[in-house]
Amino acid sequence: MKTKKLLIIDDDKDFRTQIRIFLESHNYSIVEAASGKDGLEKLAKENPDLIVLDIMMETDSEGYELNELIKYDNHYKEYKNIPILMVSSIQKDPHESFPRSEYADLITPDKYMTKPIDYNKFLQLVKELLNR
Amino acid sequence: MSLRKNLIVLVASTAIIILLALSILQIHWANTIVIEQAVNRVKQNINTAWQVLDDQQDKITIIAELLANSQEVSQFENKSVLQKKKFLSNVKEQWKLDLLVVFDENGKSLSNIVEPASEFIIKHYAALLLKEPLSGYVNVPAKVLEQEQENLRGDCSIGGKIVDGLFIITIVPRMDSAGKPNGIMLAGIRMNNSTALLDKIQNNLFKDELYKGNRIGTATIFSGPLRVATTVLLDNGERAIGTLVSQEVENQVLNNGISWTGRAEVVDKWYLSSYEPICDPLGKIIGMLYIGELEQIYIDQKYNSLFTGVGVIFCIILFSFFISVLLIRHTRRLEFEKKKVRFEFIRVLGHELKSPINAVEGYLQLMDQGIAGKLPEAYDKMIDRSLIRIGFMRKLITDLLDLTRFESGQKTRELTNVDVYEVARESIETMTSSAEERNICIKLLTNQPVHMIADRSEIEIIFNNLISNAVKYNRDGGHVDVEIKAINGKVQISVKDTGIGMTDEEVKKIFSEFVRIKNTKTINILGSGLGLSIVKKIAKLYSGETHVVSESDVGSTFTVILKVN
Repeated sequence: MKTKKLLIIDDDKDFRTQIRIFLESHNYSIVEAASGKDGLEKLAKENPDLIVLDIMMETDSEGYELNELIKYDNHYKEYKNIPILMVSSIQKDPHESFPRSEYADLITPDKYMTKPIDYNKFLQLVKELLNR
Repeated sequence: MSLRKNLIVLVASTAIIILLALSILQIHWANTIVIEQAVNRVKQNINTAWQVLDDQQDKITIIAELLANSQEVSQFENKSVLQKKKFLSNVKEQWKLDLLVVFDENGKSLSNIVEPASEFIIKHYAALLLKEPLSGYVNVPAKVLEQEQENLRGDCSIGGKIVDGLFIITIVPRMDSAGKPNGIMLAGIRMNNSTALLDKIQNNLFKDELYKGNRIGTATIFSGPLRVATTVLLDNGERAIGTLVSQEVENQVLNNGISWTGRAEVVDKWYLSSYEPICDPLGKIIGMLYIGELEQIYIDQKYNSLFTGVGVIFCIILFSFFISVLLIRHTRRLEFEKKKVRFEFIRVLGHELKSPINAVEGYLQLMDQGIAGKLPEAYDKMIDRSLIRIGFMRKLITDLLDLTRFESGQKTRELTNVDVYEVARESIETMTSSAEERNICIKLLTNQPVHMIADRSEIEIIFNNLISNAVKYNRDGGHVDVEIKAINGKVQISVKDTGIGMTDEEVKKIFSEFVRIKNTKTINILGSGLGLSIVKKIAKLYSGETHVVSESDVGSTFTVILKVN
């Protein structure tokens, strides 16, 4: 089976390191990005199988914006089917933040987890999203 | 909410009380001013009326004196009866005199006609005539007038009934051709039914002005208590004569000789009135002069000024109320914003505290799962990172406590004589090891003590924050220059770095709480985001200021100016 490639977009270096250590031990290949801009570049370059995305980076809502861009913007339409797993220390489920339009389904992430993450649950979600 | 309600109720009730008080004041003011004005006006009016009567008297005196010295009068005895009669009636007609009599030195009339009124006057005032010429107002009783000639008798009667007559007279000596006195001459005009005289007074005072269809003022002459000449018209257009004055006025003016001023009803209308006594040359009160001005004018004026005043006051109150409501709203908005800022502070604080815990917890979980195998060395990096994150969390908490202390003002400050140079030196020393790791050189450009009265710990916080920032945000191998200057009672601390610098946009917000410039250059630099806002707060305690000059990729210079006192 081909090794799945995951893109981690998070400005917290420690979080990226942890995910890398954890997922590499489960035979996933990891690409790190420290900002939204970096993330979009790596997305085009690496074409990952899954994106793990943080919400608060340079701005408080950078993750949301990035998610909307990937899911909805024509410019990134070839990546719109890549599942996005959103992780943040914000307790509120982003589904509550996105009931605002008929495109809600398009612009909300596929899964959401709050930090600190439960690694087993995280792994389970990663697998689930990759098998879709 | 209830505070706001109370405030509004308070403001509203205060406004109403002020409105009421001012209205009462305004009513009082309107009353006083208008009444005062009216009384002054009435006094002025009656003076003018007296002036008209005085003029009349002067006129008669001049005529009489001219005549008395004329050849015609000095040789009066030589005239025939017919000539005398013709002369006298011509002069009377020409000068509109009612009385004109020439007497010889024995007091005998030379007119050869019956003239009881004149004879009565001469007899009555004989005592005064010995001294000098006489002029003034005299009373001729009705029973004397009854014997008068038809025309004079008629002119002095009211409704066919003869009443006491009131005259303005003048008595002057008659001279013979040699200039020696040889008798006297009397000239006079009647005031009973004297419409011309009254109309003159009326015109002088009120100029036929109308107010709402009514004449604004009237004048009346009383013979005793009886109206004998007036400008007041009855409804049928006739002059309102023949009636008596009120008992009150009669008592005060006629019996006691005291002027009367006040409201008086004259033919169904109220007048602001003044009655003054008319005295004869012997000082006896023989009649009254009355001037009245329509009260309605003043009542209307009063209400006009009242309504205008109350209107203006009401507008002011309304305006103040409006302003108060605006102020309350503004206060509420400020409160709301303050609350918002607080919530935002707590929200960001929560996030800032959570992320190091998340990081440490994440590493601990990985270690717990033994993810890197059994060798402890494999976990060294995770432990190092955890310690670093915990270290910065401690720094955040310390900063937060400092900030709260400065903000609440509860911290007891220990003001002593502090050598700022010494504090800077110590601060640089503690920072040197971390600076050397990245080959950054920290230089203190000052080499002499700079003293000021300060709390040493506060000055330490300033240097620690500025120098640690200058190192953190520097490039490897960069410089940090620390300089202290004492200028004009101020101590200026500047810390210059050769680091990443900031854009103008970033400079604007750098001193605010939890502002950490987040970009790719700062992504791996840890900090609380509170350091500079603490520095700013300390500077404020010293009535000082904080500045920053920065250029992207060149470096920043932070300057703190503290007042020495």
